Amino acid sequence: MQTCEILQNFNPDSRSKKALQLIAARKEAATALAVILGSSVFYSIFFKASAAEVTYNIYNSDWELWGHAMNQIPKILKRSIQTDALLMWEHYQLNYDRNHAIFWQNIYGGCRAD
Amino acid sequence: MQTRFICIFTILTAISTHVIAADRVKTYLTDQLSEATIAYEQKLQRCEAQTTPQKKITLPVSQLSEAKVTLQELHSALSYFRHQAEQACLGNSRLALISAILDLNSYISESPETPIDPVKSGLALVLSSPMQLETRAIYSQLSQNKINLLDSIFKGTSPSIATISNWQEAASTLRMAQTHSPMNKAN
Repeated sequence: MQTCEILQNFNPDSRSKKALQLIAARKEAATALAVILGSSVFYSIFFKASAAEVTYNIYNSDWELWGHAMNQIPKILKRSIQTDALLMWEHYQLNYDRNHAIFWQNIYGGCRAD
Repeated sequence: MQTRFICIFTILTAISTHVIAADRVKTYLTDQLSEATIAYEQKLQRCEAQTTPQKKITLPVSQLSEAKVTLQELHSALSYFRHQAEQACLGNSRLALISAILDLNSYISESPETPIDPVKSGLALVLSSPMQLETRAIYSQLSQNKINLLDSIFKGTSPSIATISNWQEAASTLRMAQTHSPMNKAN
């Protein structure tokens, strides 16, 4: 697990928004994640992903909460999220979009605060 | 009077037997789904453990560049071969789970015409997402020489850019080739 990186003014592009909506749309994901994430920044990122031009600040504590959420959900759901996250991470790595790449890498594998 | 009573009794018995039988079927199908889900999750876990220590892959950058493989095509190949490796490892556990979901949902659906909701039924968790399908579709439509080249690099592996030692070099070379191609200049 890599060290957390704070993402400031992170503004998901249309490709990322679409991926976030797909993840949140899965019934299991919607219920399990909504309960665990409560009112965190990830709740807004996933469940209000369609909102236009919103930027997010994602801090260590948010990533930790995300990592915790991923460990609480069923394996089958975690795998489903990770498969999409890996695809997104690769896309942004290959296209030199650092912020999006960090975002999807952390969505995939979580991170630890040092 | 007695005949009418016997008639009503017979109808009620028939209905209750049917209801009990129906419940038995539902219980059976639910058990099947539960077993299939557990088997699938266990297989996922085993496959993950198997693929964790991945051997590094070195891309033949000049060959890729010569064959005019784009970044998107390279990415589609990663997705395609990863999917192939996963399917090979999961065996029939995925199909068994899909089948169990379909059986239960077909049984409890109001009519044969009622479509099964992939999200509500849980199918969405097992089926590939539109993004994955889109990426893999690009690979299947490549020219034969590109397929041969990518096949020789990735066949039998579960690749991701994390397992490629020189992906940064390859990405910048392929991007340069794309930027300087006559097609792009014309545009």
